[in-house]
Amino acid sequence: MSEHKLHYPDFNVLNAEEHWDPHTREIVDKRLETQTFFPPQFLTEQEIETLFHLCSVLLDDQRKPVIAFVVHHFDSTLKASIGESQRKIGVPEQSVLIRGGLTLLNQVCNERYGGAFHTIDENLKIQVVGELMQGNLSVPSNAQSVPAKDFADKILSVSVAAYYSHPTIWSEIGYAGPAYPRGYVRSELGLTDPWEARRNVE
Amino acid sequence: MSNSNDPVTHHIDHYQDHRYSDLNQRKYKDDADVCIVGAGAAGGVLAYELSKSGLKVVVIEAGPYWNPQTDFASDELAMTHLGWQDTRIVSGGQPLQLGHNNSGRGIGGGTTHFTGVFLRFHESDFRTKTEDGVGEDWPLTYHDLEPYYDKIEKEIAVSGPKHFPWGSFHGPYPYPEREPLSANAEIFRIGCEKLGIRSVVAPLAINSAPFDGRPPCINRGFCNQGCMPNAKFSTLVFHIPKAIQEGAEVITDSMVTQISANKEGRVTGVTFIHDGQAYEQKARVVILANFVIETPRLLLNSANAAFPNGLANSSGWVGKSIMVHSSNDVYGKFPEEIRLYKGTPVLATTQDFYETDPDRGFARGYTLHAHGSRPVEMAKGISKAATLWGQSLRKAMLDYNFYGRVTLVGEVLPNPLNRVILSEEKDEYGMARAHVSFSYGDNDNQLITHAVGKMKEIIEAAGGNPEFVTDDTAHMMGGCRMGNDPNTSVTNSFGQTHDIPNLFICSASVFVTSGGGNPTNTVMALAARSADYIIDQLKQQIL
Repeated sequence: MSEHKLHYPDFNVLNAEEHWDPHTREIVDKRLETQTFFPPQFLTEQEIETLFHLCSVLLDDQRKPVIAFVVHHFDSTLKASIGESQRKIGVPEQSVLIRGGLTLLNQVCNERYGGAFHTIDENLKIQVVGELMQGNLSVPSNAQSVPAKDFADKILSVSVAAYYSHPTIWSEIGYAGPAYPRGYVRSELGLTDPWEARRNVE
Repeated sequence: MSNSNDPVTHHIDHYQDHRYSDLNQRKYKDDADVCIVGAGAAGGVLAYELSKSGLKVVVIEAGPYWNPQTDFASDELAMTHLGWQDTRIVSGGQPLQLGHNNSGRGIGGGTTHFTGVFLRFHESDFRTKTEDGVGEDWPLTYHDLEPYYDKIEKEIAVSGPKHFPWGSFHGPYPYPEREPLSANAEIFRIGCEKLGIRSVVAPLAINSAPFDGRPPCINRGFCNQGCMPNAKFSTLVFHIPKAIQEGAEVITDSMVTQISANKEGRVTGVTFIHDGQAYEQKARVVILANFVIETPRLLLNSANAAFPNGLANSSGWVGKSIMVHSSNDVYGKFPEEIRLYKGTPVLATTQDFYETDPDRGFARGYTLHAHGSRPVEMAKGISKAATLWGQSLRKAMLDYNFYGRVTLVGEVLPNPLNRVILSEEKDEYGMARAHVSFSYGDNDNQLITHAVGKMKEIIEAAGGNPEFVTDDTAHMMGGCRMGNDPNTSVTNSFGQTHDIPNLFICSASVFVTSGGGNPTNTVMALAARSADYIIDQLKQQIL
C-alpha cells in the first residue's frame, strides 16, 4: 500500500477518551476489540477472507486491526434484521448482493489468474477492483449473476462508513471527534481547543 | 413514572403517574378523542396542543422512546438508526437515498437528528403557479400561516439574527443569534461578502441561552446524531414530554398497520402491532403524522371494499408528487484548517437566490448553507460522487481538516410521476413495502447547475479550491397534497381529508410545493394550525 504523509503523526484521539460520555466510549472501544469479531456471525470464513482483501484495496490500508473492524461491520450489518433503508428496484437484498458479489469476484480472478482474489498480486487486485468500481468488470459467461456495479457501490459505501468510524483513522486525519460533555469552545478560524490535533509548523 | 425528572425511560407507554405492564390495559383504549400516528415534528405539536385543550390523545410511534443520555452518542455510524431504516424499493432517474438522510424513527422523528435550521417559507412559495406558472398554488397563504410561525418560533425560543433580510419576516428572533461561529461558517460569510451576497447567522431551533430547563449549545457538532446536552429542540425533549404532562398517552415501539373505516365512510381507529401482537385503538379522529412515505403507504394498505383504491384516495392523488430538496454539497480545500467537525453544522446562510429571477432561465430558487461534516459523511459523499476509492480516497481524507463545505437546499418542482406506490414485496408485518420513484426535471437540473456554480464562487472568493461536488438530496415533502379541489388533492388546508372528515394528514406530506428552504418550521406551523381547527371542530361536535 502507498505511503502517505500525515499532518498529525503524533495525534491520538483516544487520549481524550476520559472526557467522553460513557455511551460513546463504549461504542468506540468496541471497535478496537478485534478478538470479539470472531467467529463471524453471518459470513463464512472464505467470504471474510475475500472481503478483507477487497476492503484493504478499497481503503488503501492493510492494517489488520482496522480492516478487521470494517469486515466485522459487514458481518454484523448482514446479521441484523433491520432494513437497508432503500434498495434499488431489481437489486437483490444486500446479503444476497454481497455474497453473490464476493463469489463473482473470485470467479473472475480464478478465470483470469487461476486463483481466488486474495491470492493474486497487489497490482492485479487494484486492477480488478478498478474495473469493478468503474462498472466495466468483464465477467465469465458461466459466472454468478450479480449486478456488479450495485455490488461495488454497496461495498464502497459500507466499508467507507466503517473505516472512517475507526479511532485510528480519526487520529490519522486529525479528527478530534466526540466532545460531550465538554463541547468545543474555540471554534473560530485558526483557533483550537487544547486537545485537538495540531500540525508541527516549522 | 420514575422519581427522576426524566420521563424518558424505556417503556412501552408513558404518561404521568400511570403505567400498566401490558398493552391491553391502556389509558384511553376505547375512548380516545384523537389518535396520532407518528411522534415527529408534526405529531409532537399536535399531541401537545390537543392534549392541552383537554382532549384525550393517544400517540402511536413505531420506534422507541429515546433517552438522549444513554441512546445517543457522538458517533455517526452508531446513530444511523435514528433514521427510518426499513427497506423501501427505490427507482427513477435519481433513486432516493432514504433512512437517516431524510426521515426519523422513534419519539421526536426527524427532529432528533435535523440540523435545527428554522426558516419560514416566503409568500411566493404558496403561489408558484400564479407567480411563476410552475407547480400549484397552496390553498392557504403565507399570512394564514404567519401567526403559527410566530407561535412556534416563540414557543421553542428559536435563535437568530436581529435582522433577517429575506421573505416577510425580518426578525428579531425570540433568542439572540448563536455565537461563536465555526470556521466553516466564517469562511462562508467571508466568501459571500466578497461577492456582494448577503449572509446571516442561521435561524436555529437550538438554544443560544438557557431555555425551558435546557442549556445553550456547546458546539459539539453532532446535531445529526442526536443532541446529548438537549440544547437543540426536538419534539422528544419539548412537545412530547409536555403532552404527557397534559394527559396524552404515548405508545412506542408499535407499528400502525391498518386504519379501520366503517360503512358510513368514517374512520374508527387503527390497528397496531407491538412485539408481534395486534391491538386496536379506537378514536373519534385519526391523524396521520407519519410522513411522506409511510402516510401514503398506510392509506394504500388500508384499502377495503368501501375504499378499494386506498383511504382518502378518490382523487388518485395519494402518493403522488413527492418532492425532495436538491442538496448538492461542494467541498473546497483551503490552505489552513477549517475543521468541519466543529460547531453546530449550519451556522451561516444566504437566501439571496431564493426567489425566481427571469435572467437565470429557471423558475424558483434556493438557500445556501455553510454546512459542517464529520468524516463518515464526507468520505461517503465524495467517494460516491467521484467514485473515489483506494489511494485517491485515502489521500483526500488525510486532508479532511482542510476542507470547508457549502450545501444547497434547492426547490424541486412537483411532478405526479414522482410517487409512492405499493411494491410486490412484503415487510415483517405482512404490509406491502413502499416503492418510491423519483427523477429530477429540467427546471430542477438547471437550478442545481446554477447553485453549484454559486457555491464554487463562494468557496473560491474565500480562498478555497472547490474539489468535490456531491449530488445529494435532503428532506421529503408532498405525496398527499392539500388543495381546494377534491379531484386534484387529498386534504383541505387543515389537513382534513376530502373523502373522510375525521381522518387528517399532518406532516410534510401535505406540502403542495417544496419551497427552497428547510421545511420543519412550516411542518410545525401547519400542525399548530391543524390543531386549532381540530379542537374547534371537536368542541362544536362537528367531527
